[in-house]
Amino acid sequence: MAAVGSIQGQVRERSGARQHVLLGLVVLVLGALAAWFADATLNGYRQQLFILCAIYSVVAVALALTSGFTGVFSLGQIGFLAIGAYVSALLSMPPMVKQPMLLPGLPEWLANFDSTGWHPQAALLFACIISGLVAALVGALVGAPLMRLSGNYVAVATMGFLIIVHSIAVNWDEVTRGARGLSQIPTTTTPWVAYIWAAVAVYVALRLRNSPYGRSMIASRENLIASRSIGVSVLRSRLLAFVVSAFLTGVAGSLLAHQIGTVAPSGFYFATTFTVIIMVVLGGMGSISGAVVGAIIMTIMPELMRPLEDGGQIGPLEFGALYGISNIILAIGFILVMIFRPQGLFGERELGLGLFGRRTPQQEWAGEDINVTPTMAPGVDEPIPDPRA
Amino acid sequence: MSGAEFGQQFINALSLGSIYALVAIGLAMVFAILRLINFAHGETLMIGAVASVLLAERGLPWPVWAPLAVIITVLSGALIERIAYRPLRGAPDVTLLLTSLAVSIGLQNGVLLTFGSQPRAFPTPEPLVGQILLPGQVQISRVNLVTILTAITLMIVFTWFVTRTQTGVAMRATAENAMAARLMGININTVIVTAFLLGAALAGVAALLWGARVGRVEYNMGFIPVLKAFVATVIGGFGSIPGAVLGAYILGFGEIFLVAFLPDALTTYRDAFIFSALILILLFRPQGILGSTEAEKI
Repeated sequence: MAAVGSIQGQVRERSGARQHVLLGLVVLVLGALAAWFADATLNGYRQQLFILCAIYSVVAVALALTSGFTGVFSLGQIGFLAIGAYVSALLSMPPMVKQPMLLPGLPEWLANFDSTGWHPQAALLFACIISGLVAALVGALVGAPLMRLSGNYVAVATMGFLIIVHSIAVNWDEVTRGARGLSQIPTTTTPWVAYIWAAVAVYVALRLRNSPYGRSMIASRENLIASRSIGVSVLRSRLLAFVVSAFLTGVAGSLLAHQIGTVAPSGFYFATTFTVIIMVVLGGMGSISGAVVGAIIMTIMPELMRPLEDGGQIGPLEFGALYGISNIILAIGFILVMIFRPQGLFGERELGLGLFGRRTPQQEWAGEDINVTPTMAPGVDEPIPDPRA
Repeated sequence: MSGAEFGQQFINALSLGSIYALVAIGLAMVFAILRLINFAHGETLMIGAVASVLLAERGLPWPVWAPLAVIITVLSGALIERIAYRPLRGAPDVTLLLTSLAVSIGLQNGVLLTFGSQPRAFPTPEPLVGQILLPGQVQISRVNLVTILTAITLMIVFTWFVTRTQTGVAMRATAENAMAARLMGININTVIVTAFLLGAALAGVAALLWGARVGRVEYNMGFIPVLKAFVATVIGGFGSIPGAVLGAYILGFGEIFLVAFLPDALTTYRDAFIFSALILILLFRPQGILGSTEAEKI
């Protein structure tokens, strides 16, 4: 019976996979149309908003990869964003502003490194890849010990990592210019580039999840002991997710630096961390399309609420500037989501033809309803009750 | 470092550790019972300090506004529990942690909205202003002295409460094994609310002492103390209250003497050192110094 079920499951899964490819193509084309639209017709402000949506999609997908797939909740994600932004800033700034007088701590080869003469997009691609690799390297070094921890412990340890990165960015004056930050980074991030990286992030995450590695990540999240007993190397699959996530976040940091043109430590701390967490939780932990939708909502919503922060008039109501109101609304919204829909908008599922009503191939394959509610922490801390105790 | 200087630093470290300890007790207590890392605990402290400023601006004398501020802090702690945490009873640990972050950000911005972003001076009561000269040329500020004495008194009262009263024993039983405690007829909700009330009361007193120490009040002032208190609970062992107090004093001394002994170029990296130590402790002794909880390690 089980064998028949699994064969049926495989058949269904294959047709489901085809549906997903089809849907993926549709979304890809729609996104490309949007990028073209943004590039060709929108004004500067809306273009920037489109770019931000794409960049934060990369960050949110990267966080969904560690937190959603492996259940290892990282609060240090934004540390990698900072690393990516600073590395690419130091690479791309014209040598004129990197000289020892301004940045005495910089090694000579980096101070004289000049990519301003290159094709702007080649320079950007180079900066993105190097930033991603540096972030991935740091991710591997930090992750190797930290991925042994679970639950609260890993959240706290990764938060420590974020604080350390922030402290270095603030205090290493000779290289980072401290709280003043770095400026004069060429602003070369276009809607197209941002969109392509977002598509790459989604593709990588989807491929990874449907690979044996991804299956072992999810298995280790669902039940640590059971997955280890069938030979899943929990540490290896967690570390893989963490390093890939660090790489993508580093790239996003580079894109961000090349969008704004400046980097300062204050942009890479708890406020940003919290925003990105909301994106992933809102979309549904473990859902990649959910992360993208969450990123888009959370990028556009604060912009819509900006009139409230600045004061003004809505209909007949006139009011003064309400600093902090958008964060209050976000915080309350987040708590309400946690209470009433802890699985987020999509839960485990992907934006697809099966989203409304029908079950996704994975759920069919399992043969029965998967309980989608507890999608976050691994239940390793639940001891098995001992009847003799 | 001369003897007198050492004495001053010693008292200073003791005072800093005392404030961290008062905040850390609340964190550890709630963690032991609910497995919740309550980041919003720092905001209860901030509310206490903001309340002090607002009440003092009404012209009230300090013997009136100080207790009132503590009462307001206690109420805010109970309110947070009721509104944000109670509906999430039994949710996964990380859900609770994220919710507490959301509460923290919501409260900070709520105060930003109403109180403004400009820091205001803390209305330090008259008797706390100034210095006292101890034998041996050791000069200590009155704030430090009062901080140490208040903290020690409160910790004695607190210890009496959790070991000698029925509610206190019920709290410890719940922390040990919530299921068994419930089967013994302990009302878990009462226990949880008491933990929040007690924690907030200690945070309220800590708010007054912290306000007098740093001298200014602003919407994000709760962040540093809660972060440090949190490190203290990790050093001592998650959920162990004596451990949290011990950790708080270790941290207080570590911080003061790190600055005193490190070369100047490195003192600004103090936080990086502290959090590196935190990560090392999590890796090698995740149960802390006095903790007994099983480590969640793979």
